[in-house]
Amino acid sequence: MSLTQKEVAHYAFLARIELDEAATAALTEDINALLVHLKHIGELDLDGVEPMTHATALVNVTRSDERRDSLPPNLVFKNAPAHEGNAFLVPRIGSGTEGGA
Amino acid sequence: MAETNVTARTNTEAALARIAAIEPKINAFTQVTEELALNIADSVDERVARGEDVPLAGMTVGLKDNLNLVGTRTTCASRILENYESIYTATAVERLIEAGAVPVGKCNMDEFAFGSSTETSVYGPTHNPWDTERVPGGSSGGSAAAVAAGMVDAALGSDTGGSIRQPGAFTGTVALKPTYGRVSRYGCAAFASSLDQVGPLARTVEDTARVLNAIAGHDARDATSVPREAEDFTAELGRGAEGLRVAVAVDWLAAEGLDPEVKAGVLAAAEALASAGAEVGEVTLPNIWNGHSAYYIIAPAEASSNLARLDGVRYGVRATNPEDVLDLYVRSRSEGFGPETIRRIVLGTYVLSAGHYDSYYGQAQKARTIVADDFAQVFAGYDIILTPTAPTPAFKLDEKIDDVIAMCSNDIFTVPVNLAGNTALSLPMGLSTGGLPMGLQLIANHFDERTLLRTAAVLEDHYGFVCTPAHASAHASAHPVTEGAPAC
Repeated sequence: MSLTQKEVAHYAFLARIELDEAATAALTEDINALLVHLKHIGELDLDGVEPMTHATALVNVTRSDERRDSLPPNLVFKNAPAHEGNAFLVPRIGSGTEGGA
Repeated sequence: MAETNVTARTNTEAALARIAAIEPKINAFTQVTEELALNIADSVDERVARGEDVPLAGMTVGLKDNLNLVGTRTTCASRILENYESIYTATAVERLIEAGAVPVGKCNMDEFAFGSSTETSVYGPTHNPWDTERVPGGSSGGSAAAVAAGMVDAALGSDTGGSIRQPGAFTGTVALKPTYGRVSRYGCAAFASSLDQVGPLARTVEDTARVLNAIAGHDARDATSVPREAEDFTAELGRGAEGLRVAVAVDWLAAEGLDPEVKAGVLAAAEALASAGAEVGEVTLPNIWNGHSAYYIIAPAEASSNLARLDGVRYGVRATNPEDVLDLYVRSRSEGFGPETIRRIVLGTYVLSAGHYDSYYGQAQKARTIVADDFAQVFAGYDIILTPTAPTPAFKLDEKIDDVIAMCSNDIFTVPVNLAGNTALSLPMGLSTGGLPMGLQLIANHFDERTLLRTAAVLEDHYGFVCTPAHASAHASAHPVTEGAPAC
């Protein structure tokens, strides 16, 4: 299947990305080219094959339940675009627009 | 080093001078951290003077710019992180410094490691020291170019689908992707967490092994790091080929687009190993294309998830005067990411979305299993698989940047290894008739880096390849720990 520009814009917005029309058109072309290349994966008969999520045999790696030092606040906020005390500052939340968190 | 007049400081000063002379032609670095390098060099010299064991004393290294080091920015060659100051140091980097290496700067890369040419960097492309009209490969292209041009003795890169090995092949350097879990990923900006692995590039097999000695080992800060006893990866260098069981992946040599000279090189490598006493056979690994497709689903899927953290809130570039928090997210990301990164994020979002998950991501995870099974079957009877690293020598700048399929086809021989988690190395096997390096890929079983390096050392002796790129002709490596190695 191939995606329309509107669909690509939708998936981009799910990833919180918006593009102008020319960039959306270019992205649509590229993604459709890749999907042609990837399409056959859906047609493989892989019934009964276990999915592989990881390349090692490690299972449930845990550590002891002991207090450990974490990064100090001055480092945590060192790269913050805006912060006040021990809080990151963001603009108001909830605008009434679609997807407003 | 004590037996020579070279100190960590003099070797570092020589590297910095060389970078100053060559960097305008190559653009291998996103930043050169001179003061930090000289401070570290001085502390190495003090440790040596105190009689401490400092195995890599004074070895100058470049760090791919997705590896954190306090005192440097870690930009991932992206506008969105262009001012990001490292607030901790990656474990692999910490261990390298502990072993006496001296980082001199951060190396250019494809933005967030998405690419095979180092052309998607916000800092502009890196040029191949063998031919500056050509790419150095990617995504660790800055690391590879810096090593090939003699600007540093070694470098660290990261390899998610070939991003250490392919630039190694394009620049005539030795480039190793360790087994998944061998080297800590802590402090390496994540691209695809189930595939990423940090590893070394150097001009000789021995230096590659020495760097691996320094950086390998369990790290409690990376839950995917595998607990294993320490090993000396130089231990089997020089042991020869007697008794090695080597397989040529004959079906991979029939791949469309494979340069005949590269193919001939792989076959010649097999003959050389046979002459040296190895038992050589032929095998097939039929799921190569399924692996390629699986990779281009799994890697963008994981990347889209990993890069969700970049939203203009905690770090990174923030859009100016956002109307609300949604506007903040959308504009910070849309303005901060380059086109290739956006392409991967959107593709990853699509293959993970409801209605498409099963036919893409779910199937890709199963295809990953059959790729890993191919390798497991071969390694039941062999120690090493020989393949090309890349289908061709280095291509020209801008040649493939607008053709997504051509660009990603460059990874065809490397991505299956990441899916299966094996270790692999690219070794320069000489120059093409066009004067460009060609890379041989050697693949070994999980955690069998010693056999991998042993085999590579046999072929390195056979080739006698000396890394002398045309655009770095004034080489004068002052590296103190590889006396007798070819001056590159």
